[in-house]
Amino acid sequence: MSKMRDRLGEHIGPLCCAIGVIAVVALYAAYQPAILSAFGIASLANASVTLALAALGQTVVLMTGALDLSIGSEISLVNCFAATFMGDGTTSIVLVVIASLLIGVLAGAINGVVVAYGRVAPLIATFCTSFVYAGISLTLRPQPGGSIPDSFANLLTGNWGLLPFSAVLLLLAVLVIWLPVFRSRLGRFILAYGDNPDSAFASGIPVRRVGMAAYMLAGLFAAIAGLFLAAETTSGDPSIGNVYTLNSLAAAVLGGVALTGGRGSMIGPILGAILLSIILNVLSVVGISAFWQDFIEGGILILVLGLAGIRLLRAQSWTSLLGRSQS
Amino acid sequence: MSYRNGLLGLSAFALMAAAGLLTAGSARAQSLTDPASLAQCFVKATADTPMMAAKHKAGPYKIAFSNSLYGNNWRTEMLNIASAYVKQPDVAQHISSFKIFNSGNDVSQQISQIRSMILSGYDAIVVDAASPTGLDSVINQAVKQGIVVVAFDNTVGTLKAINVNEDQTEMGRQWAQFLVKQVPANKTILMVRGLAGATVDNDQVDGAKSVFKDHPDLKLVEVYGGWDVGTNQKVTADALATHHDIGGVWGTEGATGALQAILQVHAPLVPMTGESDNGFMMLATENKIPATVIGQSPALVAVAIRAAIATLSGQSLPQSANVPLTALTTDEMKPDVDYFPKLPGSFVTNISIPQCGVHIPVTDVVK
Repeated sequence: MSKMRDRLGEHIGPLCCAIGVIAVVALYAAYQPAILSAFGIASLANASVTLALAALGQTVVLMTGALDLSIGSEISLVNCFAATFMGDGTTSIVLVVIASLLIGVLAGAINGVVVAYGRVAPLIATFCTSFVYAGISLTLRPQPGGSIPDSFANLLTGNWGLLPFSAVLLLLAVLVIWLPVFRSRLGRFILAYGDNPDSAFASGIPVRRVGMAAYMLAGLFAAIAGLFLAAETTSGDPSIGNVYTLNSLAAAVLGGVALTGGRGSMIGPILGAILLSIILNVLSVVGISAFWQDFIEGGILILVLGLAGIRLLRAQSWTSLLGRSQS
Repeated sequence: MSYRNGLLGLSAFALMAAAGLLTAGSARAQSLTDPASLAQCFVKATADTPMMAAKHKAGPYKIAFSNSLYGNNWRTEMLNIASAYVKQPDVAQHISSFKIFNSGNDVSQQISQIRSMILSGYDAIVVDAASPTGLDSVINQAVKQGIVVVAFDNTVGTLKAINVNEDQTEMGRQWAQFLVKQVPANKTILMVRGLAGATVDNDQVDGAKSVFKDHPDLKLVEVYGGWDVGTNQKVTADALATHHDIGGVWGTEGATGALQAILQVHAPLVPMTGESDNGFMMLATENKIPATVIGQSPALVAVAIRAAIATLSGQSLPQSANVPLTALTTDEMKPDVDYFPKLPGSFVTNISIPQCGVHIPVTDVVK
């Protein structure tokens, strides 16, 4: 029985997000039935996928007990790079996509080196590198512009019947990157390291390389997000990624990822990202005044987090609660 | 009723003006889409700016407004002006529904909102963009669906949308022209610029320098005030400490701070320029400082809505239009009309654009 409760507890974050998403989409559809058309579903998917990818990247780092404040700048960097160099030919598109992914991994590796080997606190390290990446984006594109071929834009943002290509992209990212990593030893190392760094080190886990790998994965997800944004906006903008830094943290936490490390799933942050991305749209459609939108958005998020926290309130004693949050 | 001032000069429209006097309401309504008054308001950005094709839809129209950032003074006033403008009787008769959507500075959000507007079958979409290029593809989609798109303030790159703005280069030029008339030769002009690297900053300064270059006797000192009152005050105080022959201050947004710095150290009061900040105008009139203000008006949103209505009802407008600037000098500033002693210094005062027929009472802006 308590085992079942524990398992429920593990999934309560994603579950509350799922309920939130369903409620918000239902409200949206009530006011705007056309949102359930192919075009409408693609709109919702496109609006959420960038944040979902960023949140996945952020989650990998959060699970090691660190955080990545440079994720937004990484997205901008890849976005500017892609929009500047993509050109029209198939070869150049393929080359730029590969180079973009490598840039993301490289940016993540730099974060990893500074944090894991330079022993700089993740907050400070990634805060600093975020300025470095933002600076490179500005050098690449002092002013927003550039171009993305229609073929590439349609490939990522179009839809086939009710199936939006952006959702396929997200699914591919999960199937090709997330699942293999977290079924491998690396995934278990990441969780073990985040759960208890000291015992992970004592058990011989290569903690520095694990920390570095987490940042590289975050960079890879950020690169995919940046490429998707390039397709969605068909241009590059050095400030386009800024909003994703904090929102990716929020989406991950909404989805039940622990800021203290060692706990998290893939579905939670994705649902959290969808919820965060759709709420604002819905509030406008429902006709809530602009000045109240932030207030209500915050209220809904507190409600979702509160639902997820009910489990904690039912803990047998506050000491066990403290013990749990420390672990 | 200042639209009449514009018409009076054109004898061809004298009759219409006379009719306007008789039935004020209907005449102003007519003036919303009247070609002559549109031509006064929407001036081609460059000589070879193309004209946009007009629609011929029967009104009233469904109009959506996609705003990006909100929460600063300018945007708050702008949103209030938008809501007030569409309720004015001569505007309201053209509009069946008007809805404001806010996305914050998140391009993805704004794209998805515009897509949702396409779904909802709006006739026109008015945009203050979160990115100058990021919305281009979704705007092109909207236009393909027959929707009229008008961008203002933060305008967009696509040529399928109508862009409405104020000419920042011209603004910088007019400020400089005011100063070269006022400042004696061989003095220094302190230029308190905006934000380094920003397009608007470069435009304003380019305009100013096109005037100053003909006055080599004036020395220029440039500092960056970040369009912020506090920063303006600091950099001006620093400049006053090192330059003792400052004969004029070319200031932009945030010049209230520059003026406060001068008053604080009891430096000689010199001619100044600035944007339409209530605080600046209050201090300038109080201390009788020769000054001129021109500023990005939050009522541009009303001009953009008007552009949408005009295009839908069959008028052709320039693809990129500049609204004529109104400069106001210290002796012309009237309390409770041009500036508002009872309101905070941060209030943006130019809430009406008379040359475009936009008149917003201050009570509609302050809530």
